[in-house]
Amino acid sequence: MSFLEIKNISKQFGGDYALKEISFSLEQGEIHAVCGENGAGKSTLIKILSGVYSSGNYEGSFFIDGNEIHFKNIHEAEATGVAVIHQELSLVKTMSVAENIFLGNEPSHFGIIQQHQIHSTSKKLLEQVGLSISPETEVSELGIGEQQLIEIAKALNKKARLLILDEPTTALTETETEKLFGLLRHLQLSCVTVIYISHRLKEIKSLCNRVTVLRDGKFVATRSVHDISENELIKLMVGREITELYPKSATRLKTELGDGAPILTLINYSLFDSTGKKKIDSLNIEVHAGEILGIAGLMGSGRTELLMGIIGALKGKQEGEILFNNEKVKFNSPAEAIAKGIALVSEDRKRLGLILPQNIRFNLNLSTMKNISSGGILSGGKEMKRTLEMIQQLSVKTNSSETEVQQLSGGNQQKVVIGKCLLVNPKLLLLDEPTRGIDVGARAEIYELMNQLLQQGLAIIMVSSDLPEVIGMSNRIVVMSDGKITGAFSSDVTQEEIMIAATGELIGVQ
Amino acid sequence: MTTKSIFKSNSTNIRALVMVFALLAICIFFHIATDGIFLSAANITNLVRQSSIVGILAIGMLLVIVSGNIDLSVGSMVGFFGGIASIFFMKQEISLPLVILLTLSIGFIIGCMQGALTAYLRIPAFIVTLGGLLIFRGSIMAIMKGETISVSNEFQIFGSGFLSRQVSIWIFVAFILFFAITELRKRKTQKEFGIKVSTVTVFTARIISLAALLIFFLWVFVNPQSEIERVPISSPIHVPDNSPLANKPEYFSVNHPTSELVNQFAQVDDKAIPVPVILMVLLALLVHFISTRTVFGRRIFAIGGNAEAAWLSGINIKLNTMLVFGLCGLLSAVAGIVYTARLGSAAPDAAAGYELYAIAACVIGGTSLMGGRGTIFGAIIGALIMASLDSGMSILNIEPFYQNIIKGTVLILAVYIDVASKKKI
Repeated sequence: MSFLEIKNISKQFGGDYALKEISFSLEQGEIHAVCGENGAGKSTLIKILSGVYSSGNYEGSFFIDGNEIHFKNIHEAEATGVAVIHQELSLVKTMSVAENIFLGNEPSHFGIIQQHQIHSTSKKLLEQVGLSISPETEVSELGIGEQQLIEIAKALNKKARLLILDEPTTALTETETEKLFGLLRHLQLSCVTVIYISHRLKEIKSLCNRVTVLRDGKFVATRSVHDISENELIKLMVGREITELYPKSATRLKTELGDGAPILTLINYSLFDSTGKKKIDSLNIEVHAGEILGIAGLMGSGRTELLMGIIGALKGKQEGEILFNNEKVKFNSPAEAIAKGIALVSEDRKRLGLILPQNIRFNLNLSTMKNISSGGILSGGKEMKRTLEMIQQLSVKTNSSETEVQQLSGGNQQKVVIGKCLLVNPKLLLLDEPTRGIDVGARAEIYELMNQLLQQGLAIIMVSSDLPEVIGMSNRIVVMSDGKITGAFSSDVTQEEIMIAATGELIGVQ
Repeated sequence: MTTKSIFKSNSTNIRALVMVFALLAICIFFHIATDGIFLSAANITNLVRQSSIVGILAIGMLLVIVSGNIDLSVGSMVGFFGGIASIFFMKQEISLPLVILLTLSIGFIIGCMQGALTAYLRIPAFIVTLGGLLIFRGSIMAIMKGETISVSNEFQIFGSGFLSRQVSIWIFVAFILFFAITELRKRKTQKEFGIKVSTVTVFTARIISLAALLIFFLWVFVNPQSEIERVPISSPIHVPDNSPLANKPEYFSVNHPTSELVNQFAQVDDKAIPVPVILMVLLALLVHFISTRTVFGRRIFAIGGNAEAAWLSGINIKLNTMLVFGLCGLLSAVAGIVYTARLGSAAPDAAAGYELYAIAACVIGGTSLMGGRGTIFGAIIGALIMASLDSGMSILNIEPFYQNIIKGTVLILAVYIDVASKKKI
């Protein structure tokens, strides 16, 4: 008998099926990946399994240990042993680790919390998840990876038997990811079943036992990870063949356009945060017209700070020189950088890229209102023309330029952010994790676009945690660690070489 | 009465429609409950006049709230600017146009100062303007030493004056033309870009319904039965001879039964649009235009929607935040002049608590206190809903404390409906 059996589950939203007759099952103690493009129905499935959509709001049924389950709410799901670790972590940052682990579940006598019990149990749980921190630590002091482990400790405290992880490694460093995987494998031994949702096919291959693919709300296949290659998996997800994710033209461009005029040169560039801590240490970098400089490195290596520092978005002190088009520059705000022709696509499009309650037209023209206005008054015609052209150029999938960007899929949102930057007519485009959380189809389109931009003579700096992406797209690759450059490679580098450079310094330091 | 933004999304339209229906429902309810008094010409005239001060404040407040801030000081500013305007005019004997220019400038500067404290020194707007609330009220009490200063007829035009029928008709014709031209231009642009345009029938229906609405209001305003509420009687009136308004009586009429000078101005049977109402409408149109069609307005919505993203997109958050407070201060100064003009005198405790009415009007009108969302149209409807409740309950002789309880309930209910409707999306 399977531990979890899903039978013919369907869920409609206003006539459209988000899920249609999904059936598959999980064995006890297995790590089971669920993958699919954005909109495939993964989140809807999680919400049904975890009681967010209560029984009766969907069709079909599911069984745990052979018993049919009718969750009325999340609490019932938790009581049954189903716990979800969401992409956006749900810890209270101002409270301690122990308080968070017992949040909503505090042991008490007549309403008075049993501090001692909380402390001792938390300590045990922290050991179990492999964290050597005090239970009294405030969560805000911890990194994302540690917070994730605390989420798991919290789930274990509720005696979770089914752990659902939604894109858990998006924000994790390689070491943190390894630590998480170790923990999951360990939990597997104590018969915890895991549903692992991820875009990262490599991780699925290395961690999971089986993988179920969903596409457009329908079940496609369940396979053992040993019987399926990454390419086959991609094919199942998108339903069409992407023979080469990184467009062929990239290789051609690498040889033909790699040595244009230098666009940006950093000379002994250092950057400090507002507390005076050195985030970037004497960097020397040069980017030429028509090339992509890839920047690899772990989280916290200073990659994002470097991009933000260049455009003047960080408050801290800067040292060294920035030459842009052979002219010495120093930007005090992103506005100044944009005026010169440097545009940044930030790593977090919802937080840093978009005005979510506004429409596509509003967002696309946000940086370039000067060009479509006279005397401070916007020209509706000019604006519409630019907007529609850009929607077409980037093939943003939408019915109208008036659609609020929060209603778009991740890939289309990212296209809007990129479109906003392109309208600036930049000479240098800074891309920070340009394809994070984006489905395979939209990724290919963004890569294609990057190649077109190179042909127009732009220079691109791309920061990415996705090593195949960095290697596949960049002309040259710089690896950062702890604010310093620890490796510079051409595009024939291997992932292992990059990883060694990214971690080498860290090992040396510790 | 407000023009549509060039391209408006559907959800905004639906929300606006809901608010209009809520207002109509309230009107119909009171009309029945008051045996037909509520929707009489006299009462409608009163009602829109009453709503004009809160309306003007709500226009300024809207932009502040959209930018993600709040201004608690507007009620005190109304008292403060009304007070200093009356001192400039009655005590310093400065000419009226100069008084207005001075008062509005000071309003803008004081608003900017509060904005600067918020934007540049990062003191939360709630605190800065809470301080402002106390400071401005205290200051005007100190300046006026507890006195009440009456203002002359000439000044009172802004609160109690009326445009003549002829001028009113021309203004309404101009409105209809303006609306028609804006609509036509919008259609042209939409066609140019292959966007579906509404049918000619719908277009014509819109123009006709606007015209019908304006004719209705014209009828209301000129209706001989529309007895105007009495303004408090002021001390002997002083009109400087050099004032340009003094020589152009034909444009304005003032209802001031006890004054000798009134006859000079008033042609009692030639009253149409109340001056404060036309002021509110013009300001609403202007700020609507600013918020939808100018770079400044766009920036305010961007800052309120997501300040960090706006900054990374090259928007100067601090400067624009400061200016939005400046604009709110400026509109508070306008409201201060209208308030003083309407009462015929400036009192140190004038307009106490009006900041709450302005905020309530915005919120009832669908403005999000989180910032980034809101329309002028909604804020004005919100102000009208508040004034309707006031007026209807007063006619029904409901005790003031019950009135407050009911208004408070409506405010909470309005926000609940907004929250509940958003959840479904």
